[in-house]
Amino acid sequence: MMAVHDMALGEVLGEVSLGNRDAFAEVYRRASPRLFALCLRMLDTRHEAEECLQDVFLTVWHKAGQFDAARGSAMAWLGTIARNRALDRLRRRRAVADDPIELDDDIADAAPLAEAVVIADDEAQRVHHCLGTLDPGDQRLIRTAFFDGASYADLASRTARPLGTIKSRIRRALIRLKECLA
Amino acid sequence: MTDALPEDSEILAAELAFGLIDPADAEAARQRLERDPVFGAAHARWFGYALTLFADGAETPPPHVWAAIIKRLPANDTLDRLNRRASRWRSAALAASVALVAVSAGSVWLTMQPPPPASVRPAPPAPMIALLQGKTGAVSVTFDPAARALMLGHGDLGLDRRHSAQLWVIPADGKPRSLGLLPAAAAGRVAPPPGTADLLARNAVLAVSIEPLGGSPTGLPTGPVVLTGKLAVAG
Repeated sequence: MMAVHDMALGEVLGEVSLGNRDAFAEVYRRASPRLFALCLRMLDTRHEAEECLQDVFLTVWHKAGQFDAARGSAMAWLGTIARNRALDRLRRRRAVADDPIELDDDIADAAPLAEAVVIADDEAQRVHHCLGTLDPGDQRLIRTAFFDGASYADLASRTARPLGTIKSRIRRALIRLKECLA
Repeated sequence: MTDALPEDSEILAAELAFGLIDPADAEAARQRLERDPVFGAAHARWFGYALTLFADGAETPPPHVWAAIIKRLPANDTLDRLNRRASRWRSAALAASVALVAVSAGSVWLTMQPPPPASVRPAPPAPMIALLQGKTGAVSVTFDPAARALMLGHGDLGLDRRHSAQLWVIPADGKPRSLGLLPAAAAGRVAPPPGTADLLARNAVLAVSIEPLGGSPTGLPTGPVVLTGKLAVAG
């Protein structure tokens, strides 16, 4: 049997689905730093982020068999779980952020959308570049949706804009993003 | 890019990935993820972009998080998982046997089963014990490391005359090693095959599978796993 540390992450998940605890430890070793960072970003306290990470890996243990490599990368699958578990926690304590979002384009962005990180590969550089071509207000809306679980309706209320305006504005931005990434 | 989706579906996948859709509508979109692989792939691609943009950070969690996860793992889902694994072993064994037939017309069937137990006697108390349970019956396994002896006891496993029940130890690497066949009598004593005694440690998983008469021809379970249990220190 091939050692789990020589396998691609998706194959390791296949082993997890069969109950291999070494494989489970390997997934944790490879993916937990990124997933923990995501939980930390979405939740207020380290304690909550740690509990979130526990929830994430228990979900991985039970659902590893549902990962389908034909439908995307293993890391994206794990990231979906981490984001969903973090959103579960946000919703459970009814603490979904509702602070106003400022859309005026001439205001300097205190929290730049693209993380200050070393961009590892061309693909990541391209994605960051394309996001950077969007209007800063649109960037802020998309970021807020991702981190706060803010839907169109939430964003409309937080920006004090009509729902239709927000929807068409973000959709235009997504189409621009899609064209840039194609 | 495998972009066979119309633009509105592509954008819907993006909206779902970034979390923009209102919860009431999101459910329908999530169901489409299950039904429509192209849509699912588009969603995964967009979610990958989102992760690249927003979740590029990395921070090693403190060690107690892993300890807490391990503690919360269920102990009782082993049977289902072993059967999933057994079905994978079955396909591998089938492929191997097809290959074997291809190279040799007159194949030799080597069975590596330990000889049947010479004597049957009641199990004495011993340091390691496991009770294997499942849908049919139960098997008790006692291992005496000093004597390197396995004492087996079982009730009626509902076997017909064309099948044998085979005992396996599955250590942390997930690869089963045969401990031999369950004796036909209700109780028996066998020596663990060479190399397996060290695997009979606390928390090692033991399993019984239903095999062709005489045991698995492949060295791995080829039939369903019907009973499992974990070794614990006796007393």
